[in-house]
Amino acid sequence: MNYAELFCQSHFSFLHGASSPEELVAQAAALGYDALALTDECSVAGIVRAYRQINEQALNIKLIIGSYFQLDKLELVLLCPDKAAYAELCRIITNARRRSNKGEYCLTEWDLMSLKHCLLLWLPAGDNESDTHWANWLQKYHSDRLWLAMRRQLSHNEATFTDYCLQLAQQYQLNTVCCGAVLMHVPQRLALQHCVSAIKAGKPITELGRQLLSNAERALRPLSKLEKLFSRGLLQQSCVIAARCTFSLDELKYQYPSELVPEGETASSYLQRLVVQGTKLRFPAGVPKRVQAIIDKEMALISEFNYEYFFLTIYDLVQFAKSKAILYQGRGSAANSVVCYCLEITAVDPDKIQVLFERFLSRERKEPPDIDVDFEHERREEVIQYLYQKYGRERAALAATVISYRFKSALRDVGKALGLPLSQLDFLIKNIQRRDPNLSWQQQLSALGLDNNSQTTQQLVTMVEQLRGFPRHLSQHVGGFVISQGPLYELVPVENAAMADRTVIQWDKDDLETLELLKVDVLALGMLTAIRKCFALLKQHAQQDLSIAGISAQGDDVAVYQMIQKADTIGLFQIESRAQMSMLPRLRPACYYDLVVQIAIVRPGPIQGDMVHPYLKRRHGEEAVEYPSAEVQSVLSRTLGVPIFQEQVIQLAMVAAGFTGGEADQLRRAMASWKKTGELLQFKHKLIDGMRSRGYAHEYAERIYQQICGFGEYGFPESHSASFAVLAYVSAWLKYYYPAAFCTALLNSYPMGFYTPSQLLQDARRHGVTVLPVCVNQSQWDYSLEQQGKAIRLGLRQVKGFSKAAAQLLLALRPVGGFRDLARLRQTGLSHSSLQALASANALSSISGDRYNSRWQLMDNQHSLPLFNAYTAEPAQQIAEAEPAYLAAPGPVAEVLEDYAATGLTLAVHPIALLRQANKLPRSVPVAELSGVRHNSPVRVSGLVTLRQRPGTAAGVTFMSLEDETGTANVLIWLATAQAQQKTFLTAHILQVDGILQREGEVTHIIAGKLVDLSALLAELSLSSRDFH
Amino acid sequence: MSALLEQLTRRQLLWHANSQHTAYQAVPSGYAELDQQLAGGFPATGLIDIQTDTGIGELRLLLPYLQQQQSGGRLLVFLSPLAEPCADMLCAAGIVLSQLVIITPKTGKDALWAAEQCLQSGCCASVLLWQVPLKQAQARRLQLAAEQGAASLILLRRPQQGLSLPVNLSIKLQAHRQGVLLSVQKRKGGWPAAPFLVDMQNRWPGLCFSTEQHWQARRKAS
Amino acid sequence: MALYLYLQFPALQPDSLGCTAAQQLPVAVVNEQHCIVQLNTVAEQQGIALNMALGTAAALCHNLQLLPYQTQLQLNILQSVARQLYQVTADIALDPPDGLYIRLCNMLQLYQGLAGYWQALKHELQLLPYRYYYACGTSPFAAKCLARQQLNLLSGEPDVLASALNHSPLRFTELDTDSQQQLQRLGINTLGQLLALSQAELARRFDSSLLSYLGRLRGSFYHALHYIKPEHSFSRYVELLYDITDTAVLSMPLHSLLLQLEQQLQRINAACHQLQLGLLFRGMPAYQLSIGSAQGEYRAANWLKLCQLQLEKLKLTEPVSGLQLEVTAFVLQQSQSDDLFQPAPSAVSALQLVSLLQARLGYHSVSGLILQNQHLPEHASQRPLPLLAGKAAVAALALRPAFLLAKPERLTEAVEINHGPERLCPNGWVLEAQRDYFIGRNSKGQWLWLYRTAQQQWFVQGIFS
Repeated sequence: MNYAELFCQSHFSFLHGASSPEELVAQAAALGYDALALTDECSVAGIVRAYRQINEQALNIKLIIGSYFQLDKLELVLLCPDKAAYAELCRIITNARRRSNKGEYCLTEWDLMSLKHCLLLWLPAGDNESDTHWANWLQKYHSDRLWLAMRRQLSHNEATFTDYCLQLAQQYQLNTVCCGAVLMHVPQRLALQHCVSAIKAGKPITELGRQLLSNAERALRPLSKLEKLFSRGLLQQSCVIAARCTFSLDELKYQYPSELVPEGETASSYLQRLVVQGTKLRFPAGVPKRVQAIIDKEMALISEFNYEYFFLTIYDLVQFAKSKAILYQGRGSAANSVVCYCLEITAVDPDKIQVLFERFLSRERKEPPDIDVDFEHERREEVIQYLYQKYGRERAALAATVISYRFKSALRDVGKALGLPLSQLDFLIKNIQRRDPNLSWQQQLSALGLDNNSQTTQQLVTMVEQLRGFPRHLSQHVGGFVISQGPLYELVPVENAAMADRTVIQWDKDDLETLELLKVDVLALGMLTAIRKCFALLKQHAQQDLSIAGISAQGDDVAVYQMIQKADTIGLFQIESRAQMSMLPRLRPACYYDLVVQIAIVRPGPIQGDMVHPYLKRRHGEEAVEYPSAEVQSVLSRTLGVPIFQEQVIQLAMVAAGFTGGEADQLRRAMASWKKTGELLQFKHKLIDGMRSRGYAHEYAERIYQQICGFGEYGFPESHSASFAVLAYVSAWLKYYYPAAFCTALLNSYPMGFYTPSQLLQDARRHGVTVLPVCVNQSQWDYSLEQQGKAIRLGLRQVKGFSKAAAQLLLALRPVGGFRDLARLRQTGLSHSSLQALASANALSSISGDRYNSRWQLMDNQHSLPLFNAYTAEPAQQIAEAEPAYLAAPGPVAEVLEDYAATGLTLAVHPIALLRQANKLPRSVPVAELSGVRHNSPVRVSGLVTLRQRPGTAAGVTFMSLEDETGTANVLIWLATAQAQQKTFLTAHILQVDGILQREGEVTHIIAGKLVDLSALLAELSLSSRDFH
Repeated sequence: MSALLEQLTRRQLLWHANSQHTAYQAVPSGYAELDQQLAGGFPATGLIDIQTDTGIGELRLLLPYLQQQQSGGRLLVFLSPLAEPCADMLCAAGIVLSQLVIITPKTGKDALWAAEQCLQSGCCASVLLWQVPLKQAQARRLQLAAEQGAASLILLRRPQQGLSLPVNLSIKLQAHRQGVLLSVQKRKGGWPAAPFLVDMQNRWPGLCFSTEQHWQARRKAS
Repeated sequence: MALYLYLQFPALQPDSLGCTAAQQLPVAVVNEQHCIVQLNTVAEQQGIALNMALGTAAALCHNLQLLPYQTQLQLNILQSVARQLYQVTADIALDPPDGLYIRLCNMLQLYQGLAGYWQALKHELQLLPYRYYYACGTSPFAAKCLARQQLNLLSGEPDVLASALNHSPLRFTELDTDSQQQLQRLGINTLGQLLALSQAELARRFDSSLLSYLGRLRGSFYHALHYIKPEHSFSRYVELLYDITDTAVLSMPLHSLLLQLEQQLQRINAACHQLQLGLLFRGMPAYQLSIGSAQGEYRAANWLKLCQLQLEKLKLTEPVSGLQLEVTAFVLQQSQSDDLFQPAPSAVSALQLVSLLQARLGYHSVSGLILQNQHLPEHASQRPLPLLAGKAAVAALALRPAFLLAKPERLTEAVEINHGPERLCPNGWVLEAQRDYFIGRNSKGQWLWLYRTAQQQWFVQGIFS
């Protein structure tokens, strides 16, 4: 007996289906079904996954594309027999989705009436009135493609319903077929199905009662069982329908927008012309022979794979950015090609990096070329709007990102479904330690008060593990656009995203990759904004006309690298984090390629894979650089035999373990997702056996595998690192030569980077830059440069509670000589709260004295009587000034606290300095003097806690930064220490640490012993308890 | 006005002129053939004696009547039921559960006391009493209470307990594959009649063996 | 001079936990914002502090026991404290959630000074398990402000009180946080600084609530307090002139007690749901009866009938020497409006009938029936108190038997299957507990509800009647 399941919903029918598309097709194939129709509710989000599973596992089952819909009491399944039907389905899903809010849909009769190709399975509701209506209606419009679908789930009074359906079929002359209305691939998923139903209903499972499935019959059932439930005719009919469905996703052909090519030219000739043009710009002295050879090779590859349009699309995009003076930078496997260099997509000079385009776009591997373009974060929207304008919303949309359950969200939702109190769940979520690999979260439950043997706990554990990785909703990809020649909705449904005016397609980037559809990544990067602003400042104040390409073209600047080697990198791109800073003095990058390595190596992947140490040793010549074979040498020589980049791992698998291009591609995807699914394991034997059979030692093979595992999802591609290194260098160059302008630009691009404005300004001051306070008569909205570019004036943007609109009003009405009194300032019409914000920031000190007195005057409501609100010619004479201020002035501690509260920083005395002056910090060593403390000797430091970070790599260790008036100390706290002094560890704002100082080269750490919370000291000093964090 | 009349009639506050030939006010039973035999239906008040085996459809026969009785907002009382009453079935048959009181006394004496209290209270429409032996005098007393409180008391007894009691109606039920076989033993203002079939195939297809076996036939077709 | 006392109880909820085990564990009360609002001393010793976020607290102390903050409970406890103190002092006003104002002026004369008064009050407070802080003040707000600082200041000296008040930080005042912040941002941190400013200047800068507070704090504005009054209840004891062994004879004295109750209830147009009737004996402990009326009743005759039904069942082994009648809660009388269309105007209402039946047959012999939102038949029907409407509407399943057996029985006879299977397996965790239900008819013509287990065993669970 043959059977095709025509109605099956996966977990892409969110919180309803309880199995993945992959599980469903695998199980259906195992049960011997002829075909499986994946019919998620108003969605095709899961079909590519099912398609990939069938191809990769070579499953003997046919995939039918379809979708399930509800319209009032009408329930329908639409199936796609051919490509026209598929386009039709995508269109009506798009229509139904675009009419509604994100996550919902609204089908209309018109949608259904317009169907010409899709097959319809009708599921009667059992309500005679509506069923009669729809039977007539469906018969009228779709009689030749219509079936009444019979279900049998062994539910209450089913015989009567079956009888009723048969009568309907007879009465309206409908064909009948049977279906399973499947929600689970195996009956064992029933508990999970109940759980997701409860999550969807927002109630505990116990309260749902009869809303829950009454049994597990909505699983894929064995053929033997189906034969008992349905007549032979009904079963056969399912195969008849399946046979009519010949559409496969293979047929989807992607067509690039053609308007990019001028008339009279082909894509190929046009690209050729642009590249030739570019060579003149990039190589004014003539193209070196070696480079020309590379260009020819690249062009041949591009033409072989028909990628011309892809390059032209990106070329068009960056041309737009260039015309609007928006700074951009391309990165990714194809971006670092000479062709891209010539098309001005990237500024990475191919001469300086031996990375070859061909290595990324290889013949054997199906991986499509990858070009991400970063734009200034404040202006990326302009680029996106350009895309929408040029191609229209019908042809351009963002790729989706599938938002999935992660541990915490799964625990919260499952817990609620099992009826655990919310406060207990909050408690669990806050306290379960996920970092310690030796202590599973299940083991921790009992320590946190759950009875490990209780049924609820065991159910919680099982369910959380099952729910992890389940999709929750579709969100928008950060910037991946799909652009097509025809309307996109004939290729894939488009739905609304949460952001107004954004639409996303129902597939994510993996799906696009599977179908070999290309996407263009339009990303936002804060550092590009900062660099552009810095260039503008320098043009204005130093008459310098700079560009990224120009700075890189000057070659490696020794002085700049010396600064980097000292880890003087606060504010720099990519190399400013704590981890990076502690590695810089050891790696001592001295040229561009060193930076490429530096950026890629200080990441969780290489650190976990234990690659940092060998690389360091080899770089310092403490370990010999050896290669087990010439092939391996060709892959690893540029990183001294240690695999650091993702590309190297893939290449290793190919050259050393004999992976085919396709297998290597699967490996790459598995690496990206193995934390979630553990998919990597299946490659272990293949990799190790492959390497051993090629004569590599077992130990070496095992090490390579471990390194791949360590890479996990953190693996970083060389092609991206290469582009980032350019920006890292440019930012370093700017900081070295123009510290004031660079800092100003960073602050005006805030929020970005690791550091607060306070830390950036302190760093600038240490580099000899003067910082001037915010002032109602001097400050602009942005930070600005004064004193011939040597001093930074705080901008009004730093004042909390003071809006940009208020600033514009203030600046427009500011007299040339500035405001002379409060009365005049009031007449600008600034709101009371805006004036208060200025007073709090001490920005009024030049016209109304200290904060207390400014506020006292501002609060006087006699001034805000309507009579005085109107602008009068000579206001000063008509308004009686407030009585002379008699309030006491704030003390130094109060001033500092107010500074922090109002601007997040102070230019006055550092709070720690205040405590030191008041003799509250006996024996604490200022950070600047730590260099005089011997290695391994005890030391005491005190400071503001500016960072409390538990890095993913070093389990059980927390990094803390303590800032005092002289600098920032790095404190390392072991788990046991932290636990023993938990309260202080968790809550202190000002901390005193007694510990041991350790020094390695120029890196200094303090290993914490005793922690003392000094947060209360400042409050004591000022009689105020306000928190300044 | 007619709506009011209808309501009054339904609540047995008005007497139909044409029903004078019956000795009691009849409430439609929901089964047309039965109404015909009983000249309108079951009595609204007084004692109804049903001699029956359990589980053959005796309650299904009464459900439409009980639902009618309850519709005035008064209570329905189950006294000494056989087992746990099932909410689903009663609710699906239109019985308002909040107007249902179940009493499980420990002794027959208590049961009769409770029956009398309920009947004469005036707030109960019908009381069903299962398998409690009843003497002539007790029956008369309950009949009085029932008339006083305008309620009906339905006695469900085994066939062999056939003792003639002062009742408005006495019927006997026998199992049948398509419903129940009903014979009227005694009817106030009427005569005993030959046994006839109350067909339940339409109302309860799941609880009948269908005559043409269309059920099985259809199922095979599916 | 006016003088007030303020009592603050910082941990009413944890302190009210009776058992000693609870007192040895760290206990904290958490409000809806997941913030610690009360805690016991053990929790305090473990570093938990008020206003701490739940997450932080939980991280600090793993065996922390959490109670949700309950406004009503808190108020009930506070009221009970007030009632207790009412034994020794008048003029108590509640200041929910955790404070009491007491006006002292009149009491000082009674107790001959503050010391005597405090001794009496403290004695009463010590009988209670609650921790407290206190202070005197020349106005209610002054006393409150000082008590909240936990000063435990007991004094009638104006200078002492004024000086303490001047040193008070603003956060202990009743000023809203906005005003407090505004004042702090002017460098004004204590009440003394605030009181020193001219009222006219303040009036130009602050809204009236600040001035009104200061007025009441100084005692220059009137501050209305709602002093508590004792609640309604009824409690009478009657000593019997001669010992009675026959419960029927008890009716006479009982009736007179019930008439007294009726009078009191009628005066205030009230009724009650429950009586506590105590039968006192000379040689053994009293016997307590609880008599209820679901409808709420005030008439002595009706109560007597209900009492008699219970007394009849009682066998007295020793003569009764006294009767104690207690009613702790009164309710408003509700007139039963008689419906014009009600057939045969009922002598009794449904609720009265139920009370009557319950009194004679026992509470559990009378029940209603509700349909629960459950798949399993044994859970779907439940027998609660009668006359209750079920909660949400659940779609009822028609093909269910009229009666369910108390426990499913093994099938021992031949049956002819007519319908099925309907598969029930509502617990996804125990798939093997699935049951396949069938409808079958036995040789006697009885329709049975049967199921087959996964192990192929057959049971009868119900009878279609």
